[in-house]
Amino acid sequence: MASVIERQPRPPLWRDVRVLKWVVQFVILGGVIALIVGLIVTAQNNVAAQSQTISFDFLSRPIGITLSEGFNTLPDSAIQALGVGMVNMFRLMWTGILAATVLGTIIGVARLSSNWIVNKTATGYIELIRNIPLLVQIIFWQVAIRLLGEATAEKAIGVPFGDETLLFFSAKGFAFPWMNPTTTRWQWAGFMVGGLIATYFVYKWRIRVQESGRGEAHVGLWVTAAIIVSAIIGWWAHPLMGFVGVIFGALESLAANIPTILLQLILAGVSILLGYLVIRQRLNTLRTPSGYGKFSDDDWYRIIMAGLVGLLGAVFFLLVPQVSEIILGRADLFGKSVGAERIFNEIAVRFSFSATEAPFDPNLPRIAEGRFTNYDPEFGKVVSIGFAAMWLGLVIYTAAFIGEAVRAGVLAVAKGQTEAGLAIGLRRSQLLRMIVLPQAFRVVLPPIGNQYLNLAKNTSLAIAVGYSDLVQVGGTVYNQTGQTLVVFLIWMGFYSLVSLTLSSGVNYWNNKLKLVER
Amino acid sequence: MEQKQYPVSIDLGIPESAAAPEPPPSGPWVWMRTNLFSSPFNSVLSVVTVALLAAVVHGVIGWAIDEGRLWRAVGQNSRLLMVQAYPVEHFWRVWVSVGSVAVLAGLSFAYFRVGSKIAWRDLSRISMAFGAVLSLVSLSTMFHFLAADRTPRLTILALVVGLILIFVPRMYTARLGDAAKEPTIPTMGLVALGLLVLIGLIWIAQAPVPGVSEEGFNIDVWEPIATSTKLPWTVVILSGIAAFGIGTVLRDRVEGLRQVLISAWVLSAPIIYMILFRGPDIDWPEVLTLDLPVWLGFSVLGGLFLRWAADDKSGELGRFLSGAIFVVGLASLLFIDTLMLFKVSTIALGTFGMLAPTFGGSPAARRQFLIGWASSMLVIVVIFRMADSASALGFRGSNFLGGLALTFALAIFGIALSFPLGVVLALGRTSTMPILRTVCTFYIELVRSVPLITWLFASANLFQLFIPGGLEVDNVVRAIGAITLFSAAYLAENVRGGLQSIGKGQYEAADALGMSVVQKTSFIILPQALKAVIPALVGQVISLFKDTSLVAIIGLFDLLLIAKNVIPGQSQFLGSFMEAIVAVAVIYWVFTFAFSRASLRLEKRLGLGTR
Repeated sequence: MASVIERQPRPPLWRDVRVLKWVVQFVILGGVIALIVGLIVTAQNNVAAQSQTISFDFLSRPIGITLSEGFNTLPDSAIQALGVGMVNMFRLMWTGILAATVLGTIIGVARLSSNWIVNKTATGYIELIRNIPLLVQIIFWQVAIRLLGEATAEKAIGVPFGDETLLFFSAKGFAFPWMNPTTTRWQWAGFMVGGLIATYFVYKWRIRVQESGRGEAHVGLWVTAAIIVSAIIGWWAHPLMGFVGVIFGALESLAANIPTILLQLILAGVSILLGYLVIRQRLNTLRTPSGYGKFSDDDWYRIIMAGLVGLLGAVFFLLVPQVSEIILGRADLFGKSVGAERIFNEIAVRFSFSATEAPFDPNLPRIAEGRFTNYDPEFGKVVSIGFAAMWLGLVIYTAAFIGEAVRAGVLAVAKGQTEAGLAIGLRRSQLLRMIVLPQAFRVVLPPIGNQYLNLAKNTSLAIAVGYSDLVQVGGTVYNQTGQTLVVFLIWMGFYSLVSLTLSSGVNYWNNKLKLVER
Repeated sequence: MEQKQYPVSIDLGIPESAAAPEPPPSGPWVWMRTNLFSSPFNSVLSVVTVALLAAVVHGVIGWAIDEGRLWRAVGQNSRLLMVQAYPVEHFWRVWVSVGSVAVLAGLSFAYFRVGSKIAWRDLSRISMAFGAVLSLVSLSTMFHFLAADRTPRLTILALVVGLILIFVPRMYTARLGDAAKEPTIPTMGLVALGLLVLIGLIWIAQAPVPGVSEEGFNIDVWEPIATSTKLPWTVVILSGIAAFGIGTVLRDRVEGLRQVLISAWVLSAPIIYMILFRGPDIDWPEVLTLDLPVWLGFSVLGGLFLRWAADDKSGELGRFLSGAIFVVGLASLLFIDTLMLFKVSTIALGTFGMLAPTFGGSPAARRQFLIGWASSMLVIVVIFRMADSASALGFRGSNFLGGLALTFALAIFGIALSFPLGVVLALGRTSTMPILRTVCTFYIELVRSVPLITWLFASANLFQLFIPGGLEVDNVVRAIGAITLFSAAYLAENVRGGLQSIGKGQYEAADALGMSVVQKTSFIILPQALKAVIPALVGQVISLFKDTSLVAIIGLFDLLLIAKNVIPGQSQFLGSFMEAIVAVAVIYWVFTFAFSRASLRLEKRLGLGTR
């Protein structure tokens, strides 16, 4: 009886799976590289044939664009125009996400209601909304708003408030009361950061009270009160934040005096350190009590790639001082200084002990009667048709999907939880708020995160209603300059970054909320 | 052997009268108390919701029947909305295409036993719901009419129909009494009945068409629907119903109907493409002298080679020869100057040769494999003939295509092309090959993180930068390309979910049987993975159908762009924005809702999602 298993002879090369695997992969890699190189060469030939060049230089040159709305409707360069587009996209995104979440939760809960008519209404809403393309809905809202009366005092629909008007609805969009920020708003915001930190401690304290079981803790009430109190104190006490200006003034002079090579060395070191950490983590997962196990192809691939990327990053930072110069603010990016010096300076000038003005100026909307009837941009908040149509479309559409996700999440909570809650005498609303929704939240988060991503990407439809988001501005820019490829790369980079940020945020919360299982 | 006899009934000593428990209280009032007014809060909620709903519905109906509405804009532009600028003299092509799809659908519905039986009680409940909605809507309409001093003509009829729908089934149910003897009705029979009623309606209905009054003003004249519309529809619907009947008769009597149906569906796409878009001017002598010999030669000689390669005896040599043929075919693309048909056929032969040992193991499998080879060659030859022949239609580009036809063209080609690509990407992303996985992951994540509209812009404005000068690719084809590449990344993620749901045991069992990677993937893993994610895949198809509306932004005349820019701009329908957009929303809604219902039924039938 043979006690040693005989080693099988290795198969010939053309049948060896390990060899074949790598041959196939290198053929694929070669194909992909050949395809990319081929595309680039063709693009260069085509561009050269039209005696043009592909370059990023045009971004810093003056450009004659007028945007329909944004923080700067007459941008002085293409990059600034695109920046306005990005900010407009963010405005649409965050307000949309907030409203869609609220509406979606209501729809989802209504869909589960034992009240027949409420239940059927929610079902009807979902079936109606999610089966019509979003773009059709957005155009529908645009058309609907255009059918409202002109923006004059007689024809616009207004909600009166004493002698003034609280809300306006007209073919020029909507207008509602707003607290227009003044120059000291940053100081107030800085104060609020401090207030929120204080609120966090209040929250911790109330949680401790709750856990000790000494009567009702009213956590939510205390937290809300703390936020409101710090906001009210901040209204007058914000000049106290002037010390931030002093600190950032000092940081500014520090950034001006630090030698570039120091930052280069630090960045190179960080790059190598990151590579090392990835490798170490990989090795740690492979470690067994009896030393390292067998490394698969995949492990080698990851270790080599991590090391390679870390080293290449270090070499890049050392050989290209421009990156460090831009970070420090000694060189310009697209004709704009965006480095530390500039940022510290911008912060320093916004904080001062002597600025005592109120941070916000509350006022009601007004109609400016002139040659063209429109709202007075100085008073209240004016929402354009484009924004309103996009916002209504996005919120109503996404809420239908969020509603379905919420419903699935609530149904996923075990029935015993509901029964136990009812058995200890909770009311239906308490049961929902204290037992079911917190548990459903865990299940609901990933699909809702997906819907947030969809909403963020769907903001790009704004071009259909002429709202100046990144895609609309980008289209105008490349029509004027002919730099299609560069604009497209900017779109790609921006949306990838937004998607990555959103999805990693959702993943973070998801991991935090996951049931800890032993 | 003799069977034992048991007593049929056992006397438990319970008096007859006590056996039947008191039936729970029922009736509309009890129902309302439990479902609408179970608590004070619920009562308030019900009242508020009903009031709100009534206000909204009443308002919408009032808007819809207002005398200022230009619904004629939709009716008279229905041809535009369906096929845009498709030339009238070529409409028979559209009808042939629609008709062949109807026949195929009829046969398939019969063969796959779509539709079940519905109990009379359920049917009467549906009828009551419809009746209630119809009566309420007609009441609201009547109110609006009377308020505007207009005569309510059709509303009274609608109200009567609604009341009949509510009460007649109910009375019949009451007369039936015993629940056990309730009749069941096949749903497909109901569908057929509905379609026949539809035919009747289009023969008696009248529609307004633009005309001139005696004083010379432009007015609308009510006329019957044109024969050129109602006759083809009648023929299409009747042939669909007839096909269903024939399929019902044939399904148990003819063997191999399944294969015939599936290949007919696959072949229908290129044939419909040929009928609709090209109408190729086929050079029949050349078909006889070139296509037929090529097909026969490759099928027979190639078939003999494949038969040999599939055999165990051929061993390494078979694989080596197939690989060599494949490489020669690829090289001929670049270096040999001959007909493209030969090059592609050679590559196909090499591919089939390499797959032969995998798929041609048993004699039965080998027969199927060889039939598959012959039919693939047929498809290749037909497609090349179609592409090579000049079109007899005289269209330039595909700008004649628009409206609903464009939406369907984009959706069908997008799905058909992105599905294989998505499966390949999913396999690549889950494979153990690091470089392949990196490439696939990078592609999927990049495509998914950027919105579709930017890819469509890229296809419209950036594409010409990356192809050699002088080559022009049609707008619609470019849009299909962008939609395909985009949708493939999403499909890949869905398929990946299915692949990850397959237990490790399946892989190990396949390995233990000595299966190759290709065999393992195509016989064990993919069938299970794809079945597990059918709901997600259908969801993706629905969202692709909705996403086709984005092509309006890059200027293709789909439903949306026609509704937004064309119809409201016509002089007689100036400003009919709302009517047009609502009509388009209804069209989209009908199709998407039908898809999603069908997907729910499919899910139930496959037993997915139940434990």
